[in-house]
Amino acid sequence: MEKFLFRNKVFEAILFILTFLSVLYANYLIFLVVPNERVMGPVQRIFYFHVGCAIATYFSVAILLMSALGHFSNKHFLWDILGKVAGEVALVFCLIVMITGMIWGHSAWNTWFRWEPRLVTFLILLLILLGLNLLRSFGDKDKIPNQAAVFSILAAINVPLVVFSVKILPKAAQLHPQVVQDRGLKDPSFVHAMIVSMIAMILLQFLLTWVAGKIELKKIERELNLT
Amino acid sequence: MSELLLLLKKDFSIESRTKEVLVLILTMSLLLGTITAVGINSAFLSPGNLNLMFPTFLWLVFIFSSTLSISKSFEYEFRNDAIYGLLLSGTSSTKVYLSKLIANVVLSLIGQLVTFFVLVILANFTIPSILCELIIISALVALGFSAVSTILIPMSQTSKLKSMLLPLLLLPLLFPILFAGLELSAALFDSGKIDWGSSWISILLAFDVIYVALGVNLFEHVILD
Repeated sequence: MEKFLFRNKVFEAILFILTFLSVLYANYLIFLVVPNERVMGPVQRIFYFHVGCAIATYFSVAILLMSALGHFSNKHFLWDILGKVAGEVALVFCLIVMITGMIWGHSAWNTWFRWEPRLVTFLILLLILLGLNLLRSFGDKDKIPNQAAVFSILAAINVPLVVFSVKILPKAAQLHPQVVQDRGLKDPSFVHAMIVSMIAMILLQFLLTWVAGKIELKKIERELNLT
Repeated sequence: MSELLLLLKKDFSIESRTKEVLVLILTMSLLLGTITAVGINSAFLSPGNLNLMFPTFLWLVFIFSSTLSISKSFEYEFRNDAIYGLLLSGTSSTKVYLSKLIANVVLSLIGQLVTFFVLVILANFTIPSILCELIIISALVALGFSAVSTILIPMSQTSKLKSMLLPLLLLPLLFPILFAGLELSAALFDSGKIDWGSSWISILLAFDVIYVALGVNLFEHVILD
């Protein structure tokens, strides 16, 4: 881990090339190949970024949990850096999910926000991630690695509880498209574009985590050199 | 066990001498309850609408008054790093956590009941005879609330924002029990009874068990570097 995480140049180059090509290909599919959706028209294309970012957010939360468990297993400082950047990247992707969802919702339901299970889940996740980043910004410097790891575990375990509790809330408005369950993507190009955009967003999330981690590592090395 | 009892005695002695958290929780419940009742009164809510809104007011006032008051519960442990002296005496951090948890459950339960009576009286809310069921739900919510807040209070106490950080960390994690408390109390005020086999009871129990277990295992890491 010492030599690999945020330091392996070959892995970084491969990750960068794969991300660049997949994002390019996803954009090509979304804007040039996929036909306009019958009811919503071009606005529906935001859906591919929206779903991809939602999956990437869950991946970031998984990395957050992994880094917290890693921190308690050997207290290596790289776990703390990974936790810090995973929390930041998760917040960014969660914010993108909320914004793209609201743009889509305004055009589909004529309202920016509905109290609908998946929207509420991501809103709560956004608030939790905001809390984590505030703790990192304002916490006691000596205690932050431990405290942030504890909060990450509390937050990651809260996610399934929130998902389950939100699902059994009174169903006044289950409006979110159940695309996968209802097999809503009839045209094969829709499915193709969705899978490619999901992979692209997950790779982008990994790349951003890697780059942000590298910057954090450089900052620490610089501080050590200065002192 | 005797160590835990000693720690509990210490926590309740500090509280009985200073009365800081108790006074804060009672005053906050009274103040926030009054402000909410003023809102209810000026909105001329019909009894039917008040029935629907009452659980929301109840949990809103409880969560705010308890969060703001309970943040003081580690005040004396962190003053002059007394917590390290406590740990050097040979007691485990798990026992420190459990004693604080029990003290916080008792205090937040008192706060919850005061909030309930203040709101019932000031908002002229008529309820069926449900006190026993309400106490059980309140105790389950208070346990979950205290399990999470007892881990988070040391984090906020050692931060630059002090107790102001606690609501920002605590409230987002409380949504599952907030939803459960809302749904169960709404059913209780509506029909006068609770379906004990409902999923909300399972969520409350799962939340309590998971977060008490996490608190017992992780508390040590929160207070030590």
